[in-house]
Amino acid sequence: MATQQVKYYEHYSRWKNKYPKMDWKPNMGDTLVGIVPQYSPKSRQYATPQNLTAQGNRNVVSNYERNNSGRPKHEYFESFQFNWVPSFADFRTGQINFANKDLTRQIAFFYDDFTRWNVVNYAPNIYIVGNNTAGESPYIPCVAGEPTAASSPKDAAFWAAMGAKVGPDRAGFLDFRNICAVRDYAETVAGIIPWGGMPGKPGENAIQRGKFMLTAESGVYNALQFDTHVLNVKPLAMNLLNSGFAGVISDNVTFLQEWQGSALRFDVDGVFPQPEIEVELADITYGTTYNYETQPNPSYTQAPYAVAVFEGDEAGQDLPVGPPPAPFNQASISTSKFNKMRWNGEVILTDDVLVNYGSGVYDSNKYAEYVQLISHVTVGYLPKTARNAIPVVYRRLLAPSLAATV
Amino acid sequence: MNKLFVLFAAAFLSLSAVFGQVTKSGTISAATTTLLLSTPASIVSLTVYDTSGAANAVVFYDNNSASSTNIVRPSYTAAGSYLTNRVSTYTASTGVSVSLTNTVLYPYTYTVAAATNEANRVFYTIVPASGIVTPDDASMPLGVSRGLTVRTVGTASYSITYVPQL
Repeated sequence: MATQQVKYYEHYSRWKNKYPKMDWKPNMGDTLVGIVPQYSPKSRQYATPQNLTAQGNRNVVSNYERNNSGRPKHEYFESFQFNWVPSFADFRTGQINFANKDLTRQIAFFYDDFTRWNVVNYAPNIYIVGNNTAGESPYIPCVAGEPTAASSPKDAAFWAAMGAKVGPDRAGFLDFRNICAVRDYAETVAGIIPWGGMPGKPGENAIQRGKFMLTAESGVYNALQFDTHVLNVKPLAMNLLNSGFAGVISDNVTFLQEWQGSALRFDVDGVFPQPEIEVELADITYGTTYNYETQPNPSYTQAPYAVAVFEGDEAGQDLPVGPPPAPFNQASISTSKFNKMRWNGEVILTDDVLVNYGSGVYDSNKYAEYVQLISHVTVGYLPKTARNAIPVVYRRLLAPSLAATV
Repeated sequence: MNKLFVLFAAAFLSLSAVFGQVTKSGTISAATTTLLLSTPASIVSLTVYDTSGAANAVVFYDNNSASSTNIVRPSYTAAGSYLTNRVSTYTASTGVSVSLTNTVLYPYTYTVAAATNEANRVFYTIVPASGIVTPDDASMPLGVSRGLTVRTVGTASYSITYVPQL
């Protein structure tokens, strides 16, 4: 089970290794606090010191510290109860294995969804591609704060309003020139510094150091090979027939693709549709059991707007969730050591369940006939420098190849 | 020659079917909003004919309203900042009261009222009297997120070919 969790968690999570992890332990309280020393502001553009014969001007440099805080949250994940007859050790083949994979997949999605939603909600500025509001620049300040179980600062009305601001047709799409524009605003207006070194993603060769990262759905990167600007200036060696656009965008913007069903998309009402849905297949049913297939939700795939995230250095920190601690990967590990190992988001098998005997009668699982997979996940996000992440709202192109960009 | 034309027409229609393209045409009344599409689409080709006999201003909007060229942007919370002086006063170890004034940007939030704005224009042209206008190839296809409406000064007719859903 642990091996499966390692494999599938890594497969479905895109945000797992993006940010430095917080060294948070149990009994440290329910609030995470971080302290970030601040450079004093650069206060002039030119300097005019005194002559040597006069008394010099004095520069008193005082710097402050700022704090930021976040609250850890938790969530339960459970499978259905599995019927298990101990005398026969009987399970439907592959039942537990698959349920473990499925639960791990959902936990990976949950972690990504939580982290990204925090990054987006704490961001104090937003970029609207092709902003059509008179007098507004595409990079505007916006409401920011902690999203809770009850509400998020950036609510449906906010997203509907942002969608209405997005430019028409291709002017609203996040093409090559707009990506460069976001980078320019990030550097010159927001003063965001590039990645100063990150653990894990996108590779082990530190390719991200000194660059910005754009995290978005695949359509944004796929569109680059049809982008008029790219086509006008691409090197002759770039083969766009047998391969797509490749490499870093405009020198210092790397691209991280969201998992296909995980990009952040919303409709004209500011509602984020669920990415996948169960389709009822009419051809085969077994008694009262319906035949379902999980497919992309049309409301999601056709949502007109999406949110990409443009990031510089360490917008935040988060709690580690998922794959086992380091000793798990060592060449040899004793069984006793392994059995004591626990990690956040671990899926475990339990028989500590109540059994429903019908007619409102519940009793303990004293015959040990039922088992269940459960996982308790604790997540946390600390907005270290929230402005270093800029949500970018743009108009989607479902098939960029059919709509060449400007 | 006629057979050749039929062959070409058949080939065109079959290709259209392959790419899921739909062709739609009709008339546009003067000074009224006409809803052409109510879902997201990619407009592959578009032709406008003037039937008023006078130069005719034609505007296509990214909108799905049958009666208006406007969209309602809902009320939302926005953020801003203003310059202010933050004065900190403390007593130093020597017993002297020290006052520091920092000029800072102070952030605040405010409510932006709902507003009715003109929907995004995706194509605007003036069709000559009894003339025809087609956007140049470089600006096609036109993408619409909400739908497609058109408003003209005089009467006109149109023909569009589109691929549904972006």
